[in-house]
Amino acid sequence: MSRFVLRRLLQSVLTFFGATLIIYALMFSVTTDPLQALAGERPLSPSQRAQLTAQYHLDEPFLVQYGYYMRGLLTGDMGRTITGRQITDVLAEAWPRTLQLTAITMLIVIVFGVTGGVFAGLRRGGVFDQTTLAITLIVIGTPVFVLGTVFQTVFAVELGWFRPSFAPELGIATYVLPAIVIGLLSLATTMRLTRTSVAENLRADYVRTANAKGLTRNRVVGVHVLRNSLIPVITFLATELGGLMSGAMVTEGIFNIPGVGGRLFQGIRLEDGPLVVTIVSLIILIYLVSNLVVDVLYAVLDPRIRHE
Amino acid sequence: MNRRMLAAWTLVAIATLGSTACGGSSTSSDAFVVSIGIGEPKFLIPSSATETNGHNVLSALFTPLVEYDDQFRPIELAAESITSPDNKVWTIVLKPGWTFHNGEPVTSDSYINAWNAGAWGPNAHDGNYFFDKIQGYADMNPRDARTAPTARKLTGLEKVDDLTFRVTLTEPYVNFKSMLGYAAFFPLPDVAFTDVADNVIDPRYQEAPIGQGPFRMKGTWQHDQLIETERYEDYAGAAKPHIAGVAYKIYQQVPTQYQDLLADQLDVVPRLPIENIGSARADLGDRYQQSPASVIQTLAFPTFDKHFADVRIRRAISMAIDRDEIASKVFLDAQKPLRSFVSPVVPGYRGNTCGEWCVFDPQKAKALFEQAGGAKAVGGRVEIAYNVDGGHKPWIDATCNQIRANLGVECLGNPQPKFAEMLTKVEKKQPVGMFRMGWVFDYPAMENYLGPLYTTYGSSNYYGYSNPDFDRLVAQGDRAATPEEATTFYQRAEDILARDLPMLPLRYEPNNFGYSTRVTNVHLDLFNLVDLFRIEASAR
Repeated sequence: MSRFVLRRLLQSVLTFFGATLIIYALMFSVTTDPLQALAGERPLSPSQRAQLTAQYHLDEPFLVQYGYYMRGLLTGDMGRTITGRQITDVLAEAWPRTLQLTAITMLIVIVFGVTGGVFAGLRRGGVFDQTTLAITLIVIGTPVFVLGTVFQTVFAVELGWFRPSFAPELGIATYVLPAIVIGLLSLATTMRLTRTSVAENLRADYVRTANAKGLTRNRVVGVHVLRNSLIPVITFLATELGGLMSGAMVTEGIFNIPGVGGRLFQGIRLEDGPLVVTIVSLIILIYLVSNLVVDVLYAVLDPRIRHE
Repeated sequence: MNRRMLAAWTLVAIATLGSTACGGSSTSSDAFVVSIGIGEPKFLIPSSATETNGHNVLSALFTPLVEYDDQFRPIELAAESITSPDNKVWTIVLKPGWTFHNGEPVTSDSYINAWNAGAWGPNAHDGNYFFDKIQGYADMNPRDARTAPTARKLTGLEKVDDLTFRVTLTEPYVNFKSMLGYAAFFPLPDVAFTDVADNVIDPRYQEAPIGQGPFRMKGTWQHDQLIETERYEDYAGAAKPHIAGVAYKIYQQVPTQYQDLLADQLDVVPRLPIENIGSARADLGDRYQQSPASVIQTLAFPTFDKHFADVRIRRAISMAIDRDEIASKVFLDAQKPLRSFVSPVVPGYRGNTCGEWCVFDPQKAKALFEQAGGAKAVGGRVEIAYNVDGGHKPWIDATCNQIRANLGVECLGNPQPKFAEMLTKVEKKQPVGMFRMGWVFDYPAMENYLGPLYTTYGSSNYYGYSNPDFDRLVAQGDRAATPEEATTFYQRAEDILARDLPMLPLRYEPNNFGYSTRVTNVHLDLFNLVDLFRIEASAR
């Protein structure tokens, strides 16, 4: 097992650097004039342009710029944004918010998605199953920005149950509405997956055996069926983490949460290469780690799977 | 049971009394903080705050040397007097008794040091170009960043005494006094610098800027969230604000500001997004308002594109555009039709200087277009380039539809990801078609449109218009003895634009703002800034 983890970690390092290079190259190729992007529609004075160009190495070739970036990164200096803030500071403020939002979203998805899926699976074709099928289909088909704006208008502006925008003084509660919006999309898929998986496993031989042995229904479902049914769900959730983060980008904008999504959006708008690459690289890192965790979890959930 | 009820009622009574007592002491709006929606400022250093967000915050923390009367003429505010015998050497006398929020007195050095730092090339401040008229600017700003500047200070700034200093310009400039109302000319306290001699501003200064204005920072800049200010009790200005402070709430998207306004979580939305204008009249009623501002929207003809070389083509296109319809149908009157080359908020503005060429007349347009060679003359189709990140698509499409219908020539929008990208293409002389431009003034003067946009070496003359007569008239205006005399030159210059039509004026954009039920007396100035001395608030 430890060898498996080690091998995967080494692979992750390679993936990480490769991905960073590619993102940097992509960013470089779409960058035309970050200084003008920063100045908007205002003119830049020639001396100011000359200064900033030298400061940010904008006139250097791609590999040299990438070299500066990597040298900084490896020495723990992520550099500065185009407005002169330390990228480390920006991310230190933004990441906790995005992580909190993502954690709450995950919680909602797991609690409601898995529970709903189990109930639907146990009573396949029942009223609950049919209704959730219809609702989840509608939700899956709705773009997240529509969902976000509608929820904001209905639950925050009209009903007043939530604040329409980020309010740090409310603590964790301020993330609930946006988390529901992001979560709903994954919730639908999670519910569908769990339902199918549970329904399938209910007919498996080991369940019949368990029933024949006279185990209580709670134990059969709660331990035997659920554990095996969760494998596809967990695979989905791990890959969905990336999806949740991109959903968070849009939702953070709508609800004005100053998280990573907003910074990424700003970075792309201002053609701020280092900022965008740093954020995307970190997202890749999270993705790699969560995938590794899932692979390890497989072995825990299913004794038949062994990582040699 | 009875006793308990009695106790409860007593509590309620006490609470009521308490709250009325509280209410009684604060019926004036002085006790309340007003929240204003902005985007994340790029910088909070005066000489770098050329965008509205930073300008908004600094307008609470600082008081400019001049403000503007209702004729858009400058009148002294933090200055006692600003005079010049020849418009070249200006003497600025400060009002006595002003202090920064840290107690440091405001002296002529506060201004001289701040302006030197702004003009210092290596600082690369956004407002750097504001100082280019002051003597010694060129030596501080080499065009090649690798060569060191030959001077550290503007030779044109000279201290006379603690409250008086002289500014010498390289050329006489009649509008210099008007310029001084902008944020770039705010003073800086000594604590803002780590090294005054080398023009080095402490990078931590902008996290909690110290100014001499009616409000001071409360805590530090909470990036992407909030900037809080409170009333500065020792403020020396004659007018005093009627509110306890201003909280600038930072938003990533303007539509969220509107949602917060509806939910009563935000007091002022200075710039209502176009998608909310339609519902704003119903949602807000009288709390949706408009006031004059300086933005103009135009379409430029690149001179390197031979298709637009014939003035008849330019005139035909102009006459084929129904400005009124686009302003009312696409913008729901949030923007107004413009038929002059400067905005209505500068002294010397005359309506309709563009004359017959900006009057919608499809028959005449079509006839003129055919006479000039028709569709073949423009290469088969007309293109209009625009940046997609600014919400311009609807009106570009509408304009194209009008051109197509009225001139019988194919017209296509040419979307560009960003304004910067469009400019790069124009500078490389790639045929992008006509392209959109917008302009916000820095100070209310006709020159601030004519100079940068239309003179041969204008900083925003991306499309290459050049007319020596025009340049000469603008220069004569700049050197004129009085603002009134300058205006006559500027107006003659503007008349040339009407003949040459290098750019089509389309619309001007007033402030479109909305406010909550708890604030009254909300006014926005020409810079889209809330008048913090007039606004009043009540309990939520």
